[in-house]
Amino acid sequence: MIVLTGLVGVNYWATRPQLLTYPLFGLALLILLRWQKRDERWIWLLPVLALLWANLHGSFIILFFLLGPALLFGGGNRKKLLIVTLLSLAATCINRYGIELWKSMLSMVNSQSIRAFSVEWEPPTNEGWQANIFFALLLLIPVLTALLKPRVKLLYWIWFLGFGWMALSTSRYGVWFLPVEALVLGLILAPFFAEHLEGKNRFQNRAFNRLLGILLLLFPIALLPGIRSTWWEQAPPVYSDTTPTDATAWLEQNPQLPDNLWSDFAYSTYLAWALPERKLFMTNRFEDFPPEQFADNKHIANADGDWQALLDQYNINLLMPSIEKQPDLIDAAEASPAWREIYRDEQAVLFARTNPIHSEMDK
Amino acid sequence: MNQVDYSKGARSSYAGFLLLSLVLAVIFLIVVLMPLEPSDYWTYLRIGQEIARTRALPATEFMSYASHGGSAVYSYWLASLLFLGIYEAGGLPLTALVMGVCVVLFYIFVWLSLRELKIGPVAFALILLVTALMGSNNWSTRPQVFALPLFGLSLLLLVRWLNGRGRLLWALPLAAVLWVNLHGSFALLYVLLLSALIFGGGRRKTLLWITLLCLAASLLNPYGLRIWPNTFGMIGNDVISQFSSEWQPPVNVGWQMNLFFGSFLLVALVSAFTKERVKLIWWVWFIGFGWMALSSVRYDIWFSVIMALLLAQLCSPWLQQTLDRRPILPNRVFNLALGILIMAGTLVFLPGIRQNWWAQAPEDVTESTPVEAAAWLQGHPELPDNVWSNWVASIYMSYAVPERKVWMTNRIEDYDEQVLLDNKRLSRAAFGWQEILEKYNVNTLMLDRNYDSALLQSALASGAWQQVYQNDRSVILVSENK
Repeated sequence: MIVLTGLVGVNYWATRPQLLTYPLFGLALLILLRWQKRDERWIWLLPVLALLWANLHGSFIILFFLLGPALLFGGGNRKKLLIVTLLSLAATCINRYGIELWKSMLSMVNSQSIRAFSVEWEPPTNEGWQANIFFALLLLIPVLTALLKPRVKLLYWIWFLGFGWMALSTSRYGVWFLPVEALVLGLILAPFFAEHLEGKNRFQNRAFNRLLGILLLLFPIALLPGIRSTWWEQAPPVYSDTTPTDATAWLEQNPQLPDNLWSDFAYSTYLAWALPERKLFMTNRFEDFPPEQFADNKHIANADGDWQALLDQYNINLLMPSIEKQPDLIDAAEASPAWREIYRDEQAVLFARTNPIHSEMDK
Repeated sequence: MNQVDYSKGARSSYAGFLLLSLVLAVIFLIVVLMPLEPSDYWTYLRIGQEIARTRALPATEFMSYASHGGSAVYSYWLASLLFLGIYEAGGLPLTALVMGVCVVLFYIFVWLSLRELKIGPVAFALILLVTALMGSNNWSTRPQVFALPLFGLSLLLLVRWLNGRGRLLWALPLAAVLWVNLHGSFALLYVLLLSALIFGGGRRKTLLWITLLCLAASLLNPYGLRIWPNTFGMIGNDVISQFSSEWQPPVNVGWQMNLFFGSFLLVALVSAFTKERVKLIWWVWFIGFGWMALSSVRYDIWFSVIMALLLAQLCSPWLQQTLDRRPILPNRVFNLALGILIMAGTLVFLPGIRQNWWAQAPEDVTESTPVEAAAWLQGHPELPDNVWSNWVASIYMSYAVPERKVWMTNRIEDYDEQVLLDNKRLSRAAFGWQEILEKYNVNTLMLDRNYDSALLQSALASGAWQQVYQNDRSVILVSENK
């Protein structure tokens, strides 16, 4: 189950704040499963989880999507769980913004810019092998349920419905659905596995198992960036090819070039950290920008009819398009007398305006 | 299973008929009130005209300049002739009526299938309504609508066969002949048949003969055996998948899609708590049609019916205990009269009729259909070719202004990927738009103010194009260099 749902979840493993909350979700789920089996000792950890989660990532509301149905449909001590839920709610307010954090999180969910332009907020489609497995499981679960008639508690089905609906509505919620799906699928298939896979005396050598297990766990450390390149000639690079390290370093050495800078969206997120002295067109914080600015960004990136007018409007004097993603913009800038190429590598090109324009503030 | 046979009781009181007529009236109204979408219609009229004029199927693409002369297969020839005949006989009102009847017939077959499964009248009315709403995105005027009753009929006959009554199955080869000449979805008949043959519980020997006859019947078309590779070629065509929205996977946006995706979760929950056992073939169809529907929007309507019949069986004990516990509407005459009245009353909503009594009646065609601009262009043959208009407008122009070659039609399979990429670039006036127009010798632009605003602005700003016509929606520009 873990391998299967883990494979579907590969897309969710990119380095980002959300990643820090995966263990919190896993732990919360485990605690509630134990609570469901009348082992209530650990539920008092949940407010601590809530406190951490609220200060790490906006997905802290997910904890309450687990707790709410458990309160209504769970089989453990509901009175204690109610107290824990209230304490967890209070704990989410212990943060820099207090209760405002809830408002901010809800406004993000409803943000027009996010809804219209953020790919991870779009509903999933059945494209690519991960999505194929995800949707195939959705078809398989009712069939297996009908044929095997497993005993799965109502709470788990409620979670399945709730997290399933979230996952079908927005790609980014798929990561929370997968553990629930694994749980339900595991319970459905448990009798089958018990009969056919488990219970046979395999791997009886205790010392060998321990040693091999530890080795398997240690091996990935050798694959860490910085370590893998010492022994692996063709090791994958530390940064993806969407990170313009060389172009950024060059730009840093040329502070005389006039602002403002327009860059490919992925580049901007790197530049926000690597070149803090330059203001960017936008960052990955979708909620900070109006939808019109995202539309303008798209027009500029595609070199649509009004690209030059938009660059004028935003007083852009520097362009950093990606060779892979913005070939039209590169062609357009090359063909335009208003721009001259000042730098090029395998990833990015830099153009400067022939006659820089100055904002009112500059003047 | 301890169930009441509702079919007899419903027939005697006509309560089922009244409820059915209510649902069918809603379906019919939605079909006929929707303004006609150009995207999958006008080109078929033009093809029909060409077939009628030459009394032969064209062998090449003949409507557009972007792919003129390339070899082409017109497998929907019968649908094209039907559309033309209907349009010439009764214009858009008759077209809407026929489309409405086809869609209604489809759901009548679903209703008959529900009766075969012993579902009560209130439950089947409700299920039919939800199923219809789930599939309502697929009711626009297009060849596929002719195939809907054929699918419904095939499913009904197979449900009867599963219940041990396979006599009428011999009608399927006839349906196969019709289907193969109407629409590429004929392959679904074989999906139903082959899966029933392997997993079904009826008399397989009969079904095997029927399947073989149906396979032979599929060869009764102008292309013979070639129809099969052509159909599979379209299904596996990457260009179609990339550029045609109806071939793309569904997304959970809009209430119809909410119903569609919600049903996957619901069926899991219901199967966990019901005591009903459903025949394996239903689960095979659920997986098969479900996968198709999750892979491409155009398959959703077929799946919606399978899902409805499956859910109806799983929920039948609850439906019986709640919705159909007591007989309703016992007045037979009233039910019959009201049912007929409701269905007949829907006819006044047909295009061409509704405008006589309804001041704010929906238009016959969508706003994106450039009726006036096309008529103006037709009245000005001196304007230079080639004319570029967006995809939707080109489809309308292919029929409305046949003397001019259009940019492209809805037959995506006839075009190189580069043409489709160029189309996208033109519509957003991407860098190099003028070179693209020059490449295709375009000297006249017919632009939609909404959809082509970027190109319109760029063309006007370039000084290379002169405006010669405009109305609320369309603008026609001519190249200054011509």
